[in-house]
Amino acid sequence: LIDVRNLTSLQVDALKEVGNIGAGHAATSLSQLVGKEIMIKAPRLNILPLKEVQRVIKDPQALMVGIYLSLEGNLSGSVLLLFPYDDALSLVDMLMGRNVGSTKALSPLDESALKEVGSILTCSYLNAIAQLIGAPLIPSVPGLAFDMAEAMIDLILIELGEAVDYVLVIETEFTEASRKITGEFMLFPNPGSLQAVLETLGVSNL
Amino acid sequence: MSEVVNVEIAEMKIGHNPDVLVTSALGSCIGITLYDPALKIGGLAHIMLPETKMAKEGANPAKFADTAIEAMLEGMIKLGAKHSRIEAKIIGGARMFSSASSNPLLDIGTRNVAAAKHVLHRKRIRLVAEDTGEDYARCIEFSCFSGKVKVRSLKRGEKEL
Repeated sequence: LIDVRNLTSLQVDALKEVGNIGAGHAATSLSQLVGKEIMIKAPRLNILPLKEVQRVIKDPQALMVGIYLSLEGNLSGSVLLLFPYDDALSLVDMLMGRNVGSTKALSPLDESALKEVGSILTCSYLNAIAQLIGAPLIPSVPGLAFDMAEAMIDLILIELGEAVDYVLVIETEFTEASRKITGEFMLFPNPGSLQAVLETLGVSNL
Repeated sequence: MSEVVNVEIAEMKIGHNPDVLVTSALGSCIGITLYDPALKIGGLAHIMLPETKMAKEGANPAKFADTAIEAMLEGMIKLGAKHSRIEAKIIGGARMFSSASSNPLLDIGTRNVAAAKHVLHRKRIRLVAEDTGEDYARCIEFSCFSGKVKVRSLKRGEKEL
């Protein structure tokens, strides 16, 4: 099992690049879904003790919509996609072709639509990585929550924390051109699967 | 002056009157409070998983319901608390994500609550209140002065246990 604290700067850069390529594809998919330009920031890679991971979120106790998927295949781990609640409402408006601002609360259909967005973005992200590492990556059925983001991350920490005390997270922030939607895409690779990924990227010994 | 003591995920702290032990954003994790009302000594653990056997050796005891309760009990008794007076409350253990997935991880909250209850029963500690399960996150403030636990949530407002 890789201790994420021992990753070299070259390995960190390689993983960031993986995140960058994945996020670029996810942004293109989101752009096609809503018919607007989507911008992404350079991905941030954090290696943190369990109790500090929740601090990665800008506003940990604000009401957010979270879409969670677990990953299987050559890269196992979790994905959490976060939108501020109001931004999720705007996203639903754009998806459904309604005027932005008309949705005030999420209906079950809206929730399904958001889960579907989560699936599509995650698949785009993963497909890009899968091509890079030459192996398929499979996301689970998505789950949706709206609540404090801090309390959504605890599920991911539970999964990873069984084996480790330090967690690696690759996070990319994206924004729709009119700034009605901002979101965060967070990938938590399982340390057990990092070795294989670093090997296929050719940086396992660098 | 009461001191506010923050308990992070996989941490456990013991306080005296008038300390207030707080932990934020319990999703599937649970908060377990132990309290000796005579001495006004209280403990709060923010645990992640049901049992130590799920972990490697040398693991942090505050991650797991069984070892966290044991360590907290031991620490409180060292400070003079009496086992027979100690009462417990459990908060959290929600299922945060609605999903058609059969991933057992999504139900870890339920298993955490069950494990905590089992350990309390085995240790003969009375469970006097709980606010557990459902689908929402909770933040708690546990007063070592009153033994009361204030539970805050975005979805259901505030309540006191």
